Amino acid sequence: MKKYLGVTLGIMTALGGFLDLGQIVFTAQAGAYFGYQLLWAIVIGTAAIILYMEMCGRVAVVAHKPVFSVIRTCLGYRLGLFVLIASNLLNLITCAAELAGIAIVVHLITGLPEKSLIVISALALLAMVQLLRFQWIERLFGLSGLLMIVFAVSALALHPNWNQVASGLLPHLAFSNHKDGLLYGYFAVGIFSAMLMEYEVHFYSSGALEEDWTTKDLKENFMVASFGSILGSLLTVALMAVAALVLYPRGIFPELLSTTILAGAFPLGKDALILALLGSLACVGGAAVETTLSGAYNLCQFFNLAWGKNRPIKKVPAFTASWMGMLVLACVIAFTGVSPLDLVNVSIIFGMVIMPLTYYPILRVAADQKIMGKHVNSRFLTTMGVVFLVLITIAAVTAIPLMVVTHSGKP
Amino acid sequence: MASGANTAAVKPGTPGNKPSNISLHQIAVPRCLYIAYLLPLLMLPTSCSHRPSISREELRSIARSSISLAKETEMSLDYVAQGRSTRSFANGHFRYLAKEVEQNIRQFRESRPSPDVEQDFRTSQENVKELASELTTISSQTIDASTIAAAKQRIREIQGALEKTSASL
Repeated sequence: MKKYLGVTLGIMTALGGFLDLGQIVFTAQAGAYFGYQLLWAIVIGTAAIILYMEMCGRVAVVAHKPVFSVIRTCLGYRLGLFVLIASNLLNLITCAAELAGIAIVVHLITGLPEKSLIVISALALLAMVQLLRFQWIERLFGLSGLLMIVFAVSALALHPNWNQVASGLLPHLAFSNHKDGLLYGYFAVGIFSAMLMEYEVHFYSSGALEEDWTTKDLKENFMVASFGSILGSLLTVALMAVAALVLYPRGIFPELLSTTILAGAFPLGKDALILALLGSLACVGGAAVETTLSGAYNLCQFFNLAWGKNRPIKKVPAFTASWMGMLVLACVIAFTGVSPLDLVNVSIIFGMVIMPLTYYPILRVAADQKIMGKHVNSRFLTTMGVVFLVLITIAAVTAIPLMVVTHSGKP
Repeated sequence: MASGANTAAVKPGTPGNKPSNISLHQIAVPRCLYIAYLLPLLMLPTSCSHRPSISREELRSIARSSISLAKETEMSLDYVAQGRSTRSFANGHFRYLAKEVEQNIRQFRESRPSPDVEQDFRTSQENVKELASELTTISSQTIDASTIAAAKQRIREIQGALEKTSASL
């Protein structure tokens, strides 16, 4: 049973990355504007994150090196520090956006004032992360995130045209105008980027060490990475399909989380709306916890400080202060009233820019026979890793110019 | 290039107490890589600079966004009319829609039209203001069947006017 529950690490990691506040709206926007035409970006992103998540878990277990330890050793102090600062800034703004997102969802459920809910949400997360062991955090958010299945049920209830769905698995290259072509590129890069957000691999590799995985667990590592990512990916596809079926025909371009949730429950009844709200709450909450803990993991791993969610506070003072500080700062940012979707858009695109500096060291170590011994990458894995790294780098270079020319994806 | 630190294996509970015997390769990161990253970043200030006048394309974009919000309001009203929403969700959602339309109004307020779109600018601004006012009314009152029917009618009229302006742009 414990082994089966271990899969929740993969589910929480993937849902927190694929279906966080920004990605929920971003994917719905892509579906509402381009129908199914960007499904291929989800498929490529899923393959890439499975490959790299598995590598991160394997490196963490075999070399006892979580991601930021690898980054510092590989890139050196100065460049590593740059990646640390950039990653933690992204974690901070993403966490702030997720906190604001939690407040939005709880406001939609209860009608309580949003500003107070930001503070209450931050305090609730603080208590949860402090009181629960790591395994229970991943089980709570991973399993409750499965409520997002309501989006898949809605998509099926709306009877999608499967031929159109299948045609979305190949990139679309002909556009009626130049602007649509650029928007298509922007959404493709954004979807790909969001599926590979750095905090997913930071959280996953640290989680593998939190759970004391050994080389005996490497098969499970592959299963956890694949199952979690595929599930997250299917729910992302469902989200895009719902937008393609509900919003696209009506000419609606969603700019709100509530619109996406409404679309997700559209063909079903009131109960489905409540499930969609609770599922979104779990995913957004999971992403907030992921980013908070990732920030603390990164800092401690980079500076070689004691860390571990399951260890007593006295033994990991820097780690505890880091994640708590991260949450408090995120709460302050969210409280200023800055639009959470603007924050997430920035984090997705800027996350893309530093992505090669996160994934290159992982590939390098996973392919190093001296370090990994018999658990080294196969030639196939390394080749695929290089292919995806090239795609990540292309996306990194084009991300900001595309954001600028499309005004952050405005049709 | 800065020299890489020989960080020890880090595992929860045993930070830094296992000196690594693993020697990782130092990777020389070429200067062109820094430039490749910095160039897009340098483009940002130009994109974020203040633009006092609204061009035809920008006006079209605001009009499109407002039309989309009007259509969304109509869809949401239908959804509520069919009894598939909760009261909290409906009130909250209409309030968020109103806030979104307010942003479009702010864009009008904080800019001036380029001379070729002055008339369309004024007309769109009025239409968007009407939409915002309608949404504020919907979100602040008890939503029942008669309110919904009347609101839908007014929203449809505003949407029609916005589409007319958008088509002329």
